[in-house]
Amino acid sequence: MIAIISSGIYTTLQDTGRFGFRKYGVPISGPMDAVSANNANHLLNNDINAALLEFTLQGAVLKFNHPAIIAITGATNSPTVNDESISINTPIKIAAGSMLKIGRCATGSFGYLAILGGFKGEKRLNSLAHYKGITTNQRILKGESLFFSPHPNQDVPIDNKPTMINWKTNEIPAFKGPDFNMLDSQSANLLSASNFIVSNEISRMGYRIDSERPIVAREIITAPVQPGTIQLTPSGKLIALMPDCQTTGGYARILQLSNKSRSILAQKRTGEHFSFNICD
Amino acid sequence: MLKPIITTYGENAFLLKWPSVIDAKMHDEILTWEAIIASSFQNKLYDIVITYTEIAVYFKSNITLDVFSNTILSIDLQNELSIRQKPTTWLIPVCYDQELGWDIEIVAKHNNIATDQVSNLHTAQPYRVYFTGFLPGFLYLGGLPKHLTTPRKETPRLKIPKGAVAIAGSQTGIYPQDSPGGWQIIGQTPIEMFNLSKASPSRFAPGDYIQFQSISKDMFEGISAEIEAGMYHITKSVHK
Repeated sequence: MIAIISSGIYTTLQDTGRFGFRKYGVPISGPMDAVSANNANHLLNNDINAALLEFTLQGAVLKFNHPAIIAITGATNSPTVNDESISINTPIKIAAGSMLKIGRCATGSFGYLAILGGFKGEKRLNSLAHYKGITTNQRILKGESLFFSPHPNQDVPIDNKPTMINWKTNEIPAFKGPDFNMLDSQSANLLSASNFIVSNEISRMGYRIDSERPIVAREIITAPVQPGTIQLTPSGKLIALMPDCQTTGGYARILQLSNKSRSILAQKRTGEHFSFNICD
Repeated sequence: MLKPIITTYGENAFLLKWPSVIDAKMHDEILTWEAIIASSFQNKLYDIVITYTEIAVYFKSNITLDVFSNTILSIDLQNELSIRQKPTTWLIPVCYDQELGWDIEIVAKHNNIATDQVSNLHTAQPYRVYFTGFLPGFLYLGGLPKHLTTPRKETPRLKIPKGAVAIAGSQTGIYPQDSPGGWQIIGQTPIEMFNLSKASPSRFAPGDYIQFQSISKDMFEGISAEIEAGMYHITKSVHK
């Protein structure tokens, strides 16, 4: 068992997501940076769907009442166990009674803590991923206990290497979206040539993105959207949809990001600049 | 049947598009395509999301656009027209009292009609369920009479109660959970639109119809108590 001494800014349980319920309007959820989350489970030989913790900007403080093997990935770079620094992107043995402080994210926004065997809990609609109205709580709270099955074979897996992605890149590859052809040629050119800035309206549902030069498109009849869809509002703001997004939307879907591109964008903070590298 | 334009939609997903017109007959055809896709690919799929004029198909693993298109376009559609189950008409009791229908006078005034005409017009015909979106269990309904259309509130409310029946522009809908929103509230239903404890959390399917029925505040309380006790059975019939 693990006791949450401090929850950090915004910490949630995530697995690969809540699939099979989008026809009922239920978001899929899942990690903001799927690449880093998959790395954490991969380092431990966990199932890809094993539940892990996602931290935002400032991580939690956790007291381990049982021994465990963990891996920390993503935007955390100063974690400590009993005030001694530990490495990220590698499996770590934790002794019973240890205090793990995840610390702050120096760059990027989302970090992940996977545990050998995955976190346990009550699944709602086939997933542990926190989501308002579906799970009892919306996020991890101070004083809460987290459960896992201590693994009988406590050997640290050593052979697995993480897939590193470069969040600092300011060029994000993007596919043309279903409504790309609604753009006039000037707007289409601006989309490739302009600089974009992550606004301060960012959440697990989506990031509003400001553009340096105005780009506009009219609204569409409500149609399917998914994480990674880039919508263009009539007022000229872009919205990059994230894992907690709605299943349908009425803004023009001008671009679509891959999981990897979405993971890079998710790690960008308010005020960061980037451009799109658009391909078919 | 009109064949869709099929494109990729990010990784492991496809989008089928028909002309952008909201129309019950075309939506019926789209539902037939949905049934064909579901039966052709079954457990290879994560999700199928349908809307007014599109279907998004989300696969668990990689499949090429050619394989996907060829599979569904090679099916003899004439043999598949009966693949769908008959749609259901669901009777949804609504209390239109001003105590629960906070904005019913606004809707009446905007349309120059008497207050009790709002519930008369709202219950006069069934509404087609096009799809679910926006919130878990929120139905996109078609068929609001012209004399009920009312713009959204300029400032959205922080909390619209679960069960609120509301109007925004030419749309009408039922809030499945407490939520912020700018819709004009004309009444409230005690019916649970989304129930997590059920294997399929919503009973309403695209192509079904919703028939609203006006009830008193007393009946609203009575039905609420029956639902609480697990004794209420929603009235439904095969849609003609």
